[in-house]
Amino acid sequence: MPKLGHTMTEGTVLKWHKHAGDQVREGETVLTVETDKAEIEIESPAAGVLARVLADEGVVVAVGLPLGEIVRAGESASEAAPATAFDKEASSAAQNSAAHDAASTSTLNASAGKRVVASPRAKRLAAERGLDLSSVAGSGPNGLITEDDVRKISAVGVHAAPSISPAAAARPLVASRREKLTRIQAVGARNLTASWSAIPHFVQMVRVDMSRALAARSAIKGSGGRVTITDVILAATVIALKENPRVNASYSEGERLIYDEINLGIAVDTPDGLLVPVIHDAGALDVAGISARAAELTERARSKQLRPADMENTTFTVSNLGASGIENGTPVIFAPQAALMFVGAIHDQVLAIDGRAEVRPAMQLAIAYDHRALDGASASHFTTRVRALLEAPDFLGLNATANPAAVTRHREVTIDAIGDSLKTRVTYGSLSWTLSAEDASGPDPVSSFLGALGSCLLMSLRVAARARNLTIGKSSVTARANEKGHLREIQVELQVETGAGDDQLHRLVEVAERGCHIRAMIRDEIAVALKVTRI
Amino acid sequence: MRTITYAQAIKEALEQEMRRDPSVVLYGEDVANFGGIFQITSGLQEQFGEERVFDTPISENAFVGAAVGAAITGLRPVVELQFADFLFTTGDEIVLKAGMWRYVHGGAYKVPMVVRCPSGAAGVGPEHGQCPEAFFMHSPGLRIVSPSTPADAKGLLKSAIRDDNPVLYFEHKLLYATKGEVPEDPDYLVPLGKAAVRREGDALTLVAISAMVPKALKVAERLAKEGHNIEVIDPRSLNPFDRPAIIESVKKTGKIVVAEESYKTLGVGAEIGAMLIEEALEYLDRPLKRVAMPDVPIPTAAVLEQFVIPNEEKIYAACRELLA
Amino acid sequence: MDNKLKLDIYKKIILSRRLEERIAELIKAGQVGGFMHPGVGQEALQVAAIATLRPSDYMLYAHRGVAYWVARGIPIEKVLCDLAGREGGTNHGKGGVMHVVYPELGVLGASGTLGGCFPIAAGAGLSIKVKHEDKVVLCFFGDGTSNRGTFHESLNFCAVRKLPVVFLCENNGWAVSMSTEKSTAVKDIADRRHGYAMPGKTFDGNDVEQVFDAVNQAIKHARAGNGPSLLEAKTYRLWGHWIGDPDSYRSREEVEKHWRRDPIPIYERKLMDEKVLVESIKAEIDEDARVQIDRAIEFMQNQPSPNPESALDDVYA
Repeated sequence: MPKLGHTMTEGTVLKWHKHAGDQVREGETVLTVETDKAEIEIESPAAGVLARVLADEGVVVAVGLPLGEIVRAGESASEAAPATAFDKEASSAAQNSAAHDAASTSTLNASAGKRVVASPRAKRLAAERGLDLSSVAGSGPNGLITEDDVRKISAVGVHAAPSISPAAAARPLVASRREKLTRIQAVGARNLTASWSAIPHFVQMVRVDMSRALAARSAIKGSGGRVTITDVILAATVIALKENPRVNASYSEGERLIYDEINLGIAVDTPDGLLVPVIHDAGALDVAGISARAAELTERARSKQLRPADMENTTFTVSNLGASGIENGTPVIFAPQAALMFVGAIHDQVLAIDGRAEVRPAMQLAIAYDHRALDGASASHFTTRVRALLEAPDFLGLNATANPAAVTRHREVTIDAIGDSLKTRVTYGSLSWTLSAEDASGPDPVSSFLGALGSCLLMSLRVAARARNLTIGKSSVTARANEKGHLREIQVELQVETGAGDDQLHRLVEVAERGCHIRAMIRDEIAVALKVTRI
Repeated sequence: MRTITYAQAIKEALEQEMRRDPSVVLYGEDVANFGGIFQITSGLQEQFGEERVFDTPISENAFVGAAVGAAITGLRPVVELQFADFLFTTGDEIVLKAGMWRYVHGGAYKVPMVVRCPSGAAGVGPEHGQCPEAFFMHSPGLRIVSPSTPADAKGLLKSAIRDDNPVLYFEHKLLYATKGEVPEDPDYLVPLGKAAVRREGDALTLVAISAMVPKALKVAERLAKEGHNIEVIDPRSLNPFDRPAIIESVKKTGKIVVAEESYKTLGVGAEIGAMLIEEALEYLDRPLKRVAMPDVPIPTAAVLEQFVIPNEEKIYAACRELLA
Repeated sequence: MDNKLKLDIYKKIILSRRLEERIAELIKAGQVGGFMHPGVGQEALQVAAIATLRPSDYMLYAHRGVAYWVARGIPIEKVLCDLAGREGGTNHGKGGVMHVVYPELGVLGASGTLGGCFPIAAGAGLSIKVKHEDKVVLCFFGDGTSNRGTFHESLNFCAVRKLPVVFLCENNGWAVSMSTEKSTAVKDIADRRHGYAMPGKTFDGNDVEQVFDAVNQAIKHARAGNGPSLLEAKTYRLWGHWIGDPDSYRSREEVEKHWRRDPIPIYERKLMDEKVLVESIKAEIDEDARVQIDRAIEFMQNQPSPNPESALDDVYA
């Protein structure tokens, strides 16, 4: 049984694909074993004949103990016919006995040299399972420890979950079916029980407005990128972890072990159970890199091709519940990590934005933390940072107005009516916004125009200032028109913070007004009063 | 398929082989005119003539040795000894001549002969009731078979006659009258060297030789009712000896009892024990148990004979002890 | 016996004697590991008796000397290889020279236990009878061996079933250190034939013609389907029981006396008298024998030892 992972101590023989007596080629798959983390195919180290199967299907074998014996072509098998090579028989039997003796000796030595009287069969079984027989009472003759005695010992020696039996009922409840957990599920059950009992969990939950994140993702998608919203979330998580290293950590015996490397585990649901492949060193990847790794790992997880190395050394785990429509949950941390993040489903919710109720695509994040490693305040930095990054995903390197690739043609705008309301959707390249004459889902066209006017003036001012090497600090505009009916008059108040003199300022504003395209579109019949105030 | 007795099966084998091959001859004391003291061969002289089926004087050394001389010069003699015990009378002819003539002469000859040896305690005292397979298992060059069923009696005798080596064929006297289904096929052969698993099980391996087999099967039924499914193995051949069959069974069960109607010291069970220690030690969950005769000659009085011969009770007790 | 046959017999006798002398040298010089029971003094008997056989007849020899094999026509280098325990012999080192075997000429081999030959001979006779073959069996044995139970059982068996076996006793007066007088109730072993109702004869084993005639008659008797005979050839064992035997249990006078009756000079004189043999031919024959033996020894010395693992071969067919 090879050691296929740093923490592997044993594996279960799942299925022999070759049988005793079969020819095998070097590199040919001989059997499949199951470890804590995956099913692994074991290949023949040499060409020859599978002379003996030493561990049957279903048997748990400790790392290092033999699974079978391959005899190379040209060599004699260690079990030869009686009339010839009797010395080879004896020597290989001696080797086998010696190997098992060695194993059983180590079993014996496990407890202060006490002599263990066990049948050879019992010793062999104990050795295979890595069991110490020194404290076993034998039920055989003269206290002999027998095979049955060994089988009754718990096979793996990890903290057994305390079994909770209900009080005896008058009419006992009988299971109508029994389903044996897969090895992955069974190991998971044990590990999670350990996590749950050992780690004091607290959970922080936030609601995240995903509209900008979704838009940013669309932008990438529109430009030919292949990035999912989950990838965006993962990328945001990685940044937040970089900024909050105490979350990328483990608690161990009074210490917080902090890792530089961010190994991001992504939970994948497979028919055999939950697998958590890991994006190693995610901190070195951009969202495209994260996306590619996540896609590859997910695919391999689903097709049972994960290697133990793919699931090692996780420092933080993300579990996306959203795929199944779940909005929120209480995560269980995978010890020895310090935290685990659930990502809920994204769906339209009514959010209060600037005092108004607006419908935005939003999702819940629930992050469980190990209270021994983190307190609420430090955890909240991380929690809120993830939210902030997602709500303003500048880290994706996208600027809605500055990205030329996002716009198909300058000064070409599409306006779509929204149903038969007095609302429209204005689309400019990949940007879109709503104008509404009937509700607060967007500005009415005139107000939108006033925004354009004020913005244009402001921008024009800044361009002019830059051209004259004049500095402008804060600046803002208020643009007001008559409240009802056709536009008759517009009052524009420009507030500027600047070190420029009055004359300079005056001339600047003149130039700005002249350079403002929107201002140039206003008919002379409409009175525009421009007032400039210093801040 | 018809049901015939073990004795009839032997006769049928002889008839079929003598018809098939004119070099097969059959002789011994009282076999021709009288049909044998166990009436196995009655009528065969009439069928095949005096040259091929004849009575011999009381000269075991001469006529068993003659079988070797005849076998190396082109005949396939089948010699009937009246009792397996007389193998000791012809020790030189069996062990040193039949078993070794081929080897000592560098393979120049083969010795295709069969010695039929009625074995087993039957109230006729120590020199007419042994099952001496183990003595001759220790002797190189001799094939040994001990059928326990009529079908095997026929199939093994035919294979023995067709085998080019000297074969000691042990026919247990108390099995002569037992019945079983036997194929009529004149080419029905049971190969030498292949054990029969008479009953499959996983709780314990019970190896039984010759007349111990029916007892072993009764013990197995009893144990099955008690919830223990034991495996009964009938080696059938002691040379060649189907060691792998026994080892495979012990790998499964971890426990083994050997039942044989021969003296315990250096019986077949001793060889099995040594073999298991050599090749299957780590599969044993208990020590081996041997159910055999004590190392005493077989007494004649019924009560004394019953005391020493392994019976169903003794086999059952041995199994139960291991299954506890 | 025609002259050709007489000369042929003489040649074989000479070759046998010379071969034994050389074998004794080899053994004493430690050049071969095997041992030998020399038949010096009994060559005439063995060669003359075997001269009566056809190639297809069966023969069981006793352990006394090489003349049986020389007479039968087995290449002498094979005998030497068997003696030396090498390949190139007749039994691949399995039996040594005590088990020279040659199926092509019906030499069935030998029993390591004295008296094992009788039942084997009876069995070969049985085989001939059942298969209606035109063959006989010639079984050699010594005086001491005739006291084995197998002798009595087998002679009775052959007589009762009229098997074509000629039992030929080489009575050389000694069984290792026991004289025949002290071991055997009858003076003439052939007299035992009466116990088995078969014909027989006692004659001078050192007289080629007497031997030939007596054996030939018995062979014909057997070949005709009339059953077995018990013949006794009186002879003497001139050397010890084995090469290296101190021979301290016999008086020197007795041995000397019998050397004066060495069959070879007697036969030589006879043949010369009959003008069958002349000095020059005698010398040639001698030289021929020497050359043959030299070649045979050289052949033997160039043969390999058997592969050690071949010790496991040929137990079973």
